[in-house]
Amino acid sequence: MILQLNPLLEGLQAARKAAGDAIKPGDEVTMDDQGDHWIFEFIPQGDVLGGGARVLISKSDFRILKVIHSQ
Amino acid sequence: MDAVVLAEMSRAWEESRAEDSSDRHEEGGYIVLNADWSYGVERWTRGEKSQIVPPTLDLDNCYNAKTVVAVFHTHPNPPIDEAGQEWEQGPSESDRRWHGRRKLRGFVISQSLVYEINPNATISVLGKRNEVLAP
Repeated sequence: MILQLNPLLEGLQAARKAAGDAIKPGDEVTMDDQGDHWIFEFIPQGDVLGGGARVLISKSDFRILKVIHSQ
Repeated sequence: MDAVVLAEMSRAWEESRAEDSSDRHEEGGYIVLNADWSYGVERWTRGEKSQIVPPTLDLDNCYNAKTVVAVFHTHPNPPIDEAGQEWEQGPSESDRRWHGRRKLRGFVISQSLVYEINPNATISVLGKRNEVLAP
């Protein structure tokens, strides 16, 4: 049995790991609930154009569906 | 579009070295209104692989004492790069945020298309890059 205290938080952690170097700890994060998956958007802070990433992740098993880098 | 502005946007794209996987980087600039009411371009310093920091604007959207009327920058990374990474071609959330805060129109030059960011941060496709930037 796997105890999931907070699925959304676990999903976010998996998304952060998948995005890797494309994101930074202080990035703003938004989440879009798409039913069977979440879309996490990591947006750099400050007056910068570009950077960050969008990660699509399955709710059921935290499988990474897609990582799209922003520019 | 103004010939001077088009030429600078084309030069920015060439200088982004989109064809070079180890050196591709973002370029950009402010489209300004000169004292004689002609358009000019104030280019920015070279950006990084996937982001660029525009120089600070005055509160009234002036730069070097010239009114900034629009902005452009490049997105040199292809839809899928040599390492298999996927890249968004259109404006990013940070692009929209930057333009929305300043109520400035912008153009994003990607491999295939030129996108327009409206002052309210909505996005549209202006056209194919090689057609939009044609002299």
